[in-house]
Amino acid sequence: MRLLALASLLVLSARPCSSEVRGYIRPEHFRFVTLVKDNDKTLPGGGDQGVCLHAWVHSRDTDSAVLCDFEVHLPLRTQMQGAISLTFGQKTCAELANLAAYEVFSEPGASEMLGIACQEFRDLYGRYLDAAIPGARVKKCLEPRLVPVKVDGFSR
Amino acid sequence: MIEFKQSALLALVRRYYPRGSAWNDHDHNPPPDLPEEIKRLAALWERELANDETWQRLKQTLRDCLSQGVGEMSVPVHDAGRRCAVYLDHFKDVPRGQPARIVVGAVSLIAPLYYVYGVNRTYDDPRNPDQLLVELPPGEMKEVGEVVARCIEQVYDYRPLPVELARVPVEGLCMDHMRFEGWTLLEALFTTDPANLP
Repeated sequence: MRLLALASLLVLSARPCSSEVRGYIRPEHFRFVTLVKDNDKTLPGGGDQGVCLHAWVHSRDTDSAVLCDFEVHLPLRTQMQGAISLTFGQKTCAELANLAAYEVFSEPGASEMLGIACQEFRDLYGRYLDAAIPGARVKKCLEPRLVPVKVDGFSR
Repeated sequence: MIEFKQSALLALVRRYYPRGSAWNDHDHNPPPDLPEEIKRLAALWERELANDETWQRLKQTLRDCLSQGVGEMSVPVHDAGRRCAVYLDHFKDVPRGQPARIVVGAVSLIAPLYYVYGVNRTYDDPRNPDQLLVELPPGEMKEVGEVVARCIEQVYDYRPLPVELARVPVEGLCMDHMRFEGWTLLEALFTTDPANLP
């Protein structure tokens, strides 16, 4: 709930010259696959699960679009939260993806360099997610075992 | 046992990361095939995860030697090595604003090399970034690090990457999509995110 409140606050306080961002990634898009098992439950943290999402980012003013792919990795367990439940993992991933997307894609110059904006989104999203679930990472999709989940994405 | 030279290691990592300053493939749908270098790294991960008896034996050996236990920290494909971590402090026991100490043992998938490093992880203060310790400070961290190194050598016929080589910059490779500056051999051989841990 706190994350959602923070997201609403940031969207409302966006600068006046920035573009409104539409679109929403939903928790159920994060269909995690276990990549490295966490075989000792007595320990503080570990294991790895991942998901690859393909989201289109469309700019209304330049009528251009890029495919922004991103791969999210979460530990199976952290010392702060214990086992990361699917519901908690999906909800946190979706909330912070939307927060990071609204922040990055609403920036005044984002239309001109949507590819760079996609990388900025991955970086910011990765920082937010690592603060919420320690050990989380957001990267470009590289893991061949993860079948991309196609989502509607964002427009600005 | 092979002695690795700086030039040989720099040539080696070029096989696993694409060249250039950026890897701009956003304008293609579907995205173009992954670069050959990444495919090579992915193939190493596939082989490793299909049969990782040696890695599991290492973790068991570490558990037998250390009271703290050891966590599984491998992140396939984005890292060029497997990692395990020994948590010296539980985050609950650390005073506010103080870091929790973690010792990491990393084994490369692309060269018979290992590395043991430390991380000071601050969980409760986002302004205080996690600190990578390329060299372990004297005291408990160093002592645990020596046990980790001994166990790795017991299980793998691998050599430690010397500290001076760990810090060598890797130029002209795109190791994390668009970031192409400031990489080191430590990151290229073991993990693109050394301080990132649960």
